[in-house]
Amino acid sequence: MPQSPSPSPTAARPRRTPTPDLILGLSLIAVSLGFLAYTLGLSAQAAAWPRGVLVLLLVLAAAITVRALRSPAAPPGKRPEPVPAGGGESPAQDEAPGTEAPPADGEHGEWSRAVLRRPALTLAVVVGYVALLEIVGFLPATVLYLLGHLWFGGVRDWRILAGVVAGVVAFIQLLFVYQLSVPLPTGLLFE
Amino acid sequence: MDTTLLAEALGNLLTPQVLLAIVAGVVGGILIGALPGLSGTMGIALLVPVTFGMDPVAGIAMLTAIYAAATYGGSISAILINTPGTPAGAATALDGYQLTRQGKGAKALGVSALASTAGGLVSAFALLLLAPPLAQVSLAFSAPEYFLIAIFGLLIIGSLSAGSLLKGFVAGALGLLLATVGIDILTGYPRFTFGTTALQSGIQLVPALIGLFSLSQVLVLAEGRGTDRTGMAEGLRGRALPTLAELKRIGATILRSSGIGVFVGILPGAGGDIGSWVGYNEAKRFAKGPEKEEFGKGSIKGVAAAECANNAVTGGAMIPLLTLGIPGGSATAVILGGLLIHGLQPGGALFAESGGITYAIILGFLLANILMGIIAIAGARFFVRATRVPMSVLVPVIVALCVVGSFAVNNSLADVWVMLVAGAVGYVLRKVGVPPAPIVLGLILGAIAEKGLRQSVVMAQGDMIGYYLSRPLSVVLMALILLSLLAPVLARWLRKRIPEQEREKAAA
Repeated sequence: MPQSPSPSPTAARPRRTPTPDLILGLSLIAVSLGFLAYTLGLSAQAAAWPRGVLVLLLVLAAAITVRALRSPAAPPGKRPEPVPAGGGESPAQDEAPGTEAPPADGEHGEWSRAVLRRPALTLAVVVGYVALLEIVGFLPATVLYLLGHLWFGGVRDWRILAGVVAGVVAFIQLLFVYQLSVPLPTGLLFE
Repeated sequence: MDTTLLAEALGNLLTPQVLLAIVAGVVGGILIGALPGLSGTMGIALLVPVTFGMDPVAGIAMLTAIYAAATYGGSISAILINTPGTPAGAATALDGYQLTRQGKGAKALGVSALASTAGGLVSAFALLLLAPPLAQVSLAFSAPEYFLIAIFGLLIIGSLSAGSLLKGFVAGALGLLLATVGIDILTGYPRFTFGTTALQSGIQLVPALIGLFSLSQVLVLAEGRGTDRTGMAEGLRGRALPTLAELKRIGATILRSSGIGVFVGILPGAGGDIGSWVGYNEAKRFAKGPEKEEFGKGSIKGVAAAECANNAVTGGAMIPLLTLGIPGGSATAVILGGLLIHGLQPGGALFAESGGITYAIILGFLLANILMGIIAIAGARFFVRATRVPMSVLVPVIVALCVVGSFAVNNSLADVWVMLVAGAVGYVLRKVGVPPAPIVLGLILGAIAEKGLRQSVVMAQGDMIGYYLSRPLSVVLMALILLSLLAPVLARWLRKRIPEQEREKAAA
């Protein structure tokens, strides 16, 4: 596991750095309280079940918070829970010692900037894609997105770029448009 | 199953569309499983919208074919480069990779394919025989039982996911909360819609599934901790098909592992990873003399035991799914989503009213397992070559499919945004150890639980406890709920046997 305890620069950080669990617990408390406040405007009948669920969530969140506070010395490496397998979920490359997985040091910890940068960029690109497809329509946005994301991922070979774009567009047209008659958005510009 | 039903089921199954869907599911599933970082669940979630426009038999048979084939596919990278494509392939890597190092990579793949097929077939027969009588029970369900079964399902899946118990339950509660979004069907009040019309009909299941399982996985992949897969082609050497003598050696192991796998599969929440480790450990325990020594050093028995058991889990896991609507893990949770969008509500009615469809799906699963064996052995070289597609190409393609898929179910752009938010939130939650499967289950079961509880409050006329206790089925279910609180202890005990093995592997 990359997050296995190891002497690392992050471990030397001041202890007050909130652990991910503490942040999780506190955010869940905030979410439950916010939603509970919302239920005040509902009729008693409509609100009863959501309130029950929210109280349950609040209790669980409080338990997570308390547990996180009780182990304050926990360095980042102390979070031993792997991304839960849940019957086929965790990215399995984590489980293979002896392959080229980089050693887990502070620079590459679960929450380091180096690790989070690319997912954040990816998410931004995807959000841009969806925003774009509302404006210019599905097909142009998808072509632009694919080219952009492939380029961003380091693909420079024009044959791969063209092949992937053609393949995905053809697949979507054949399956979703012709077979399933999905009216893909044409965008605000062309309506 | 009587003959008319059998004829109807076969008629539903043996159409070109269904057969094509099964073959596509098997090929796609093996590929997805073989690529480290992509899971079968992710593939199933991506394809749920595609099945929406298909005939239910073709659609669901394809989803289950992916489930089975991806479970086998996980063994390919486990064997060739010591990197399990799915967690369920971890036990296979122990002996499989050793065989590759001895130049017998192809043999290990052949044994794995045969064992997977055998395990899958046994589990498909178990599904065919055990599911119909069990489904009868649910015909007697009324509001209180629906409430209890929903709670039971959530408790089980929350408690058995690999991480912390608390976080599993948090995930379930979050799912229940998401299920309350939208207009309350009994009073007409909009709940948690925050003034938007898009949320009035609630959070749609399919975009949530795609976000939680596919997009969040893409974000995990974007971290760039991928594996170097270039060595896979070199590992594929030697003769693939096992000799008759070798088949004789692994016969008993396959039988034992099939039984173990089916049993573990039926236990809700205990998935392929647990199944393969238990199968492997038992095979090792039963081995004698030099054969025992061979385990961990390249035993075909080890490969067969692990692979057979994890594929036997698949059919077993579909028993509670089809009879009670309780998915044991994330893959079956997504398949449940697929059943629901086709209007197939698990339970007795599935077998009584839509028996022709249900049996066709089960027989299709059986067929998928046979095809899996043939395609796996015949196409081994193709699959190995296909896994060289770099992640930088796969990720954008998967994202485009996530977007078009979540749009296609309701032709709604709001659903695409739901998928995006679910993906981002799912990624962060995964990183803090909150599993996605219970969230989805909560979203599915939330409405059933609330409706069951509110109706039973009316039916109880004031005396809730007395009413629930007066119904024998309710009492049984309440006992099961109490028992399920013990399940985490059992799962922890089973899982405790894993790290020990992992250490051995690390030392090897």
